[in-house]
Amino acid sequence: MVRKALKTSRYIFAFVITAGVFVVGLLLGLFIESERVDFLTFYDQEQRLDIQSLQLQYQFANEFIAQRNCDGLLKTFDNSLLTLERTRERIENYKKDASFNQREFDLLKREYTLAQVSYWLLYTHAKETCALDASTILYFFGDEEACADCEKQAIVLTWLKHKMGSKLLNFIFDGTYEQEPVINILKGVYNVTAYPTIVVNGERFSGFVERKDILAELCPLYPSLDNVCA
Amino acid sequence: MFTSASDIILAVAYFLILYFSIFWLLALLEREEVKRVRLKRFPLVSILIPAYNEEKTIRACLESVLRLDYPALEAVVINDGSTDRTQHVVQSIKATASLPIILINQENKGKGAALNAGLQRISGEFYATLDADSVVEPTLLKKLLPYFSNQHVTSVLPLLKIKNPKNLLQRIQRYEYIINMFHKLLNAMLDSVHVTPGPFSLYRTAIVKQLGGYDEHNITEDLEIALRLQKHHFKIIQTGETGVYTIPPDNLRDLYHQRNRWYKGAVINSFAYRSLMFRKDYGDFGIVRLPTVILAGILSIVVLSTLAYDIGDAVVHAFVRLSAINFDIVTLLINWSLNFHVLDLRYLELSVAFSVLALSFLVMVVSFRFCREKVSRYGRTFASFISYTLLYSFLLSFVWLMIGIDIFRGKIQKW
Repeated sequence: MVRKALKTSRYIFAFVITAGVFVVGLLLGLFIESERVDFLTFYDQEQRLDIQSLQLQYQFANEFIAQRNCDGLLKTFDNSLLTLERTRERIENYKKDASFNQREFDLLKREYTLAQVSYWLLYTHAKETCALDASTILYFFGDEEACADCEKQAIVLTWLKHKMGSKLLNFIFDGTYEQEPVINILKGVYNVTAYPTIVVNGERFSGFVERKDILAELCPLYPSLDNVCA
Repeated sequence: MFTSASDIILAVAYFLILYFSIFWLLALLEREEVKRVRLKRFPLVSILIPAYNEEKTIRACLESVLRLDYPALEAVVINDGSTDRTQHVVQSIKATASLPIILINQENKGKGAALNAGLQRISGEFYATLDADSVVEPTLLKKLLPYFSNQHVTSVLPLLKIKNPKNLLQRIQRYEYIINMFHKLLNAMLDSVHVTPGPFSLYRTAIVKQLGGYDEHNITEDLEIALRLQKHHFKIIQTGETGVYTIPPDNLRDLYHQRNRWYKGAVINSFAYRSLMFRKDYGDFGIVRLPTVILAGILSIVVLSTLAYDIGDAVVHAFVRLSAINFDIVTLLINWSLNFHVLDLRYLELSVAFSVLALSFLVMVVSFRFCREKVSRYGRTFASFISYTLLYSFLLSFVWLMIGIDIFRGKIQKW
């Protein structure tokens, strides 16, 4: 019978190496997060230029009524909103993963929110001036705990967008993002108190709205869209 | 980074897996070569073969014993109430055998009781157990006995391998056996072997008799006897000697039942010997080996449950989302466009997955080297490795989960 020996240095050494691997992981995380912030900041700058460009296009159309040319305006809106939506998804995903740069991602989210509002306001004006015929949906969503039906509502709106193309513009707002006062103003305007809430061409619907109900609102406006409305 | 409960659980599991992997690999760096001693005398060795419905395998097993290159042998077959032709097969071999074969017939009492019945009848200074579905090579006994030159050594174990796997499941188990053998070699370097398997573990007869023989009510008597030897500070050596082969289950049902019994036995016995845990006088065995038997089960259950929950949650959400558009996936696919940037990658999950795979691969390569086996000996290397690392790990985790449920319900099997 032999009593066993215990070599504590092996335990400590193994812990140091394991902790070292974790520290390297954390540093890598820190590096990737800051790269993500830089990447989104670049997109943000691009977005601001897009808005400026759209504003100028609209002003031109407004000022020079005789040579009014709104042909490209709706397409620009469409593309800008698509890019903006992709940026929003990235901001949300990156923010969810972030450990060190929450504040930076919050600022980016705020920029994105303002961009959405700017596009919506601009479109509201341009719609009349240029006689644009796209419908608008304002979609107010909440986080997962506050809004169980939001994921369903989001995919319905995505599906509608795919089906209707440039005839539909979706403007997406995080209704719980109350750090940005303009969200509260918008919610006040449309009396948004629950999520999801959608505003279809100015008419508010609270709670999950099925695609057939949204189509019932939109289809009379677009008789040519019989592939969706039939 | 660690934003949900499942992230934190997986991070803790990852830390523990990484820590213990490094711990055992460090032991490898400190290994000492064991000097081989020539066998100077040939004490009587008894071979105990417990058998329960082994008519298909016992002939090969017994014939391999008859071919053992050793001058002082006796074989004892304990027929534990078989309902097939096991007894008849043994008798037919016994009639023409070149060495004494004792056949004990008893009513079915379980493997521990069968071994005890055999233990009472043997007169060898040493004895080896041999599962009836295993075969031994002629030279193995002569390779193992010299390790008993150290008077503190009570049990000596060979490397257990699988010969000629017939299907994918058996090929995957071959990987598992080799990696497990490597793990046992590492534990042996820390004097922390916790199981003396049925296929050709050698013991000093007097010591096992002195400790009261096998626990007849134990579902893994080979594990229990090892723990009892450890409890009394007897030394168990896992050697690198090869020469015993077993037949693994060839279907999922049998594999499940076998592993359920093994792992359940490991948990029950480790718990029964919990007084040895975290005690300095039991060295690495008490501090790491014994607790990690239970920890491995807990980690398997936790990781599997967490992953299953995450996957299930994703599937349910996808179903709910798609149901809102009447499962019109075609429209989504037609309009799908790539929106990917390298920064979108889930780097944390990817680095964990990559490092676990790399670690598994490293362990596999080192295991095969230590066990002197070629990775590609029985078929495609990569396919078997991936199957072993990904699918098989999930299968074994599932076994652990079911064991958790069985233990909770008090369901314990006999053999």
